[in-house]
Amino acid sequence: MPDPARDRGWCGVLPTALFAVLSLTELRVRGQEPATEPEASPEPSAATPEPPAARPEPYVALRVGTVHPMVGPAIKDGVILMQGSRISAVGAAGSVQIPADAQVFEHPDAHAYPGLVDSLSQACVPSGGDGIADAGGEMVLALDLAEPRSRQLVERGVTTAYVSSRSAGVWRGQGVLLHLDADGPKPFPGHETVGVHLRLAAGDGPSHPLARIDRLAGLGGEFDQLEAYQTALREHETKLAEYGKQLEAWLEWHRKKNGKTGGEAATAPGARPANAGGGEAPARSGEPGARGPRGRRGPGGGQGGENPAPGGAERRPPQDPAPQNPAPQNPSPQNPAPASPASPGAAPANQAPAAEEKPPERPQFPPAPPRDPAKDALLALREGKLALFVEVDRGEEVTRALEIARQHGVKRLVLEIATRAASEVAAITEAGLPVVVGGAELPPLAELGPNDERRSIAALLAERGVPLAIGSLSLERARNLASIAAEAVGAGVPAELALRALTIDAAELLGVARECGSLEAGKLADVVVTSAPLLSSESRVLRVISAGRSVHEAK
Amino acid sequence: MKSPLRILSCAVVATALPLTAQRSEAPSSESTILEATRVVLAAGEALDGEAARLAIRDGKVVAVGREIGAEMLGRSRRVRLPAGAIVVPGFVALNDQLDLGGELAESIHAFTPELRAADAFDPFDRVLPWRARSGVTGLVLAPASVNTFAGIASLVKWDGERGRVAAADGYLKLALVDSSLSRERYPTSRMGAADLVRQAFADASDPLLGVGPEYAVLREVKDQSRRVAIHASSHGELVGAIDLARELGLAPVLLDAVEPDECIELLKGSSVTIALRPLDWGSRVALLEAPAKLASAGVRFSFAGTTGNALRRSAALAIKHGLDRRTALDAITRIPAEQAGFGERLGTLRVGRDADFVVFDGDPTELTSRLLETWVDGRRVHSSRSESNQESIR
Repeated sequence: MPDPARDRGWCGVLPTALFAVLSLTELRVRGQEPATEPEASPEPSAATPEPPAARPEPYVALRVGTVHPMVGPAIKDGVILMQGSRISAVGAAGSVQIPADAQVFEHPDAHAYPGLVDSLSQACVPSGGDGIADAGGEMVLALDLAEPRSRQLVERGVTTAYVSSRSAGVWRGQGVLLHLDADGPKPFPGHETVGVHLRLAAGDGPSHPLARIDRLAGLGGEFDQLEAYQTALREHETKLAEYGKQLEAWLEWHRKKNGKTGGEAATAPGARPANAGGGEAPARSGEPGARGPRGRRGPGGGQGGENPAPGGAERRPPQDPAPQNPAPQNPSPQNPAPASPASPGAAPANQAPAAEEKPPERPQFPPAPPRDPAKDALLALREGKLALFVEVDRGEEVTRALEIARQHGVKRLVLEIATRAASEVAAITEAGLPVVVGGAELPPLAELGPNDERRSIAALLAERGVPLAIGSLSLERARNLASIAAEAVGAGVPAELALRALTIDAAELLGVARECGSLEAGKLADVVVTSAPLLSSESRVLRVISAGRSVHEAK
Repeated sequence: MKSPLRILSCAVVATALPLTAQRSEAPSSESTILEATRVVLAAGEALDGEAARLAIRDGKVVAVGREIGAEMLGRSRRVRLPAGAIVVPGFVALNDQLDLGGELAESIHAFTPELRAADAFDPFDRVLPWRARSGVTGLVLAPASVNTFAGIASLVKWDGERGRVAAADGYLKLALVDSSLSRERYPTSRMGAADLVRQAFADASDPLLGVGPEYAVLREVKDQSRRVAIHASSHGELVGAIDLARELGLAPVLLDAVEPDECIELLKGSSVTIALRPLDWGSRVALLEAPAKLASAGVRFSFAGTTGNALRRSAALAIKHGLDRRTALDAITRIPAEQAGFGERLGTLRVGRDADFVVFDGDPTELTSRLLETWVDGRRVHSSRSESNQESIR
C-alpha cells in the first residue's frame, strides 16, 4: 500500500500516520458489526402499542368505517397511516398502502375525526388560581401539568387545549396552548403563546347602562403608556449599537497595541456562548431558560451571570423585525457577518495606529430600561405576534373592543363568549372577527320582549359565515364538548361548522392550523375514534391517538 | 267524490256539526289531520310512512295512524308537515315557578297545603311563551319550596296568545329542602319538618283535629285521590323523604333529586318515583350516570326541567352515559305527566288525550335536531320557520 507519508512533507508524517492507523481500526471495527436488520417492529395487531423503536419510526394504521378529515368530504372505509408523531397518508382503503409491519387498529363501523381542539380550556389550572394580574402574566408559569383531572381530557378526544385565565380581573395575561399526549399535557411545541386576554364583560358589574358605558370607557388605558416605553426601548437599541461600535474600536486599539493582527470581531471578551438563541428568530420553543429577562419569574433571570449582553442579544421579538430598528449591531457571535463588514471596516480603515496615543475610554454599557412584561405583551399585540382575546357579553362591549383594537393598532382581535351581543353581529361580521363561544347559550329572557327572537349568538354568527370555535370553559364541561357542539347544531349552527369549530377552525384561530385540526398528511397524528357520529347522543369514544400514540382505548 | 247522496249526507252532517259543537270552539270543531314523516305516540311507539298521521278535533287527539278512515280524511283540514318532520308528545315540566317567585312563596306559615298555585298565575306571564317555544306544552305550575306544605300545583297552558289554567287541582307539594326551613318560624330544621309532616297526616285522620280545607287535601293524598310530590335534593333529604313515604303509606314523586345515586337500593321495588334535577354539561359524573342505573333498577324517573332545552339536554346526556333512548324520551313526556297526576291527558298522543305535541326535524333526544313547531290543544302556537311552508290539502 502506498505510503501517503512519502508524498507529503516531513511535518505531515505524524498526523498522517495517525490518520492511517485510525482508518484501519475503524474499518476493522465496522467489519465486526453484525449485519442484522434493526429490531423487528411489534406484531401488527390491535394490542396495546409498544413505545416506538429508536429508528426508523414504526407505522401505525387506523382503519375505520368513516374518516372525517375536515378538509374535503368524508371517506368511507378510510385508512389513516401514521408514522412517528405525524400522519403519513389519509384515504380510502384501496388507495393507502399499509406497510406490512405496521400496527393496525381496526374499528370497522366507527368514525374518525381529528383530535378535538378546546379553545377555552381550564386544563391544568391550579385550584388556588393562576395569580395573573396584568397583560404580562403568563398562564404557562402557573400551570400544574400533573393535575389529575386534566389528564382525563384526552380520553374524551381532546388533544389540543388553549388555557387562559378566567379570572375576574380586567387583564388576564397570556394563555398557553397545550398539547395533550401520552405523557400528559404539555405546552404545544413551537406554539405555546397565542394571545393576550382582556375581559370587558361586565359580569356582576354595574347594571345601569350609563354606569356600564363609563366602566367600559375606562378600560384599555394601559395602551397609553406604550409610546414612552417603546421609545425608551428603541433608544436603548441605538445606544447598544453605538456601544457595540465603540467597544469594537476600543478592543481593536488594544489588539493593535498588543501586536496581534486584526482579530475577528467575534472574539470580543464577554461575548456570549452560542446558546443565546440568536435573539433573531422568535422561536419560542418553550424552554424556560430562553425566557430570561422577559418573564418576571423566568428561571433564566436575564441579569444573572456574566454580563448584561445576554439581555441585549436575546432581545424580545418586538425588537427583532428589521422595519422596527436598523439591524442591531450586537456584539453577538451569532451575527459576525452583519457585524464584521461594519466593524472591521470601521476599525482598520480609520485606525490611527499611533502607539503613544492615550487609550480610548472603555465604553459604558448602556443600562437597559426596566422591562415591563405587560407592556411587552401589548407591544406584541401591535406587531401581530400575539392576538388580543376579549371576553365580551353585550353589544356595547363588542363596540369597545373594536375601538380599542383600532385605536391602539392591535393587529388580531378575537372575541370570546358574546352571549348578548346579537345587536353587533353585523359589526363583527364586517370586521372579520373570529369568535370563540362556550356553546349555544341563549340570551337571558329578562331582556327580551315576548315577540323577540331568541337565538344563540353561535347560530347568528354561523349564519353570516363568522369563523367560530367552541370552548369548554371548565374541565367538567370539557367532558361533554361533543354534546355542547351538538346542541349548537340544534340551535341553528350547521353541523359541518360545529364540527369545524372543534377542529380545523379552532386550530386556525389559535394559529396551529398547520399542525393539527384536520386529518392530513404532515399534520400531527391526533385522531379520535367514536362509535357513532361525534355529535350523536349515543356516540362513545373508542380510541384516541395523540402524536401517533394510542393514548386511550375504550374497554 | 262518490254519489250525490253521499255528498248530501256529508253536507248535512257538516252543517249540523257546528251547531252541536260549543260556540267558543267553533273554529276547532273541524278536524285537522297532520301528516308527518313519523308520529311518535309514546316513547317506543311510532307510526311511519303512510300511517304517520294524527287526527285532532277540539284540542284532543281523535284518531291516529290507520284508524283514520277515508271519510275523516276527506272532510278534515289536512296539514302536511315539512319533509322529515317527526311529531313527538309535548314535553311536561313537572315543577315550574315561571318567574312568579314571590307570588308562589308563602314562607310565613309552614303548613299551607290548601293554597293553589293557580291563584298566582298571570295569563300574560312573560316567561310562558318561551316555555312553549322550547317544546314544553304541559307546564305544571307549583308553589315555591319556601315552606313545608307548599300547596297545590296546577296545570297551565299557552294558546299562542295567552295562558290559561287547564287544571287547577294538581298534586300536593311538600318540601324538605333547606329553602323550606326558616329562622322565623317552625320548622327550622329538617327534623322539625319531618315531624310536622308526620303530625299533619296524623291529624288529618283525626275527626276533631283534622278540620278545615287543609286537612281535606291531606286526606285526599292519603286515599290516593290526589298525588303528592316532595322536594328533596340532597341524599339526606331524599332518604328522609323515602322514610316518611314508607311510614305514611304515600307514593310521592321526589322532585329535583341531585344525589340519587346512593338511594337506588332504597327505591327499588318501592312506589316512590324520582324527578331528577336536569343534567347539565357540568354535572357530576355520578349524576350523569344515575339515569342509566335507575333504569336498570326499574325505578321510574323523569327530569324536572322547566325548559325544552334543559329537558333535551338531560335526555341526551343520559343517553350518552348509558340510558336507552326510549326511557330518555319517556322521562320528559309520559313519566312526568303521570307523576304530576295528568297522565290521562298529557305525555302521550293517544285517542282522547290533549293534542299537545312538538315537531322536530329529527329525533328530539339528538341535540342536533331542531324544533320546528309547537302545538298545544290542537293549535299551532309556535313555528320556528319565518314563513310557514305547510300545505293545506282539501
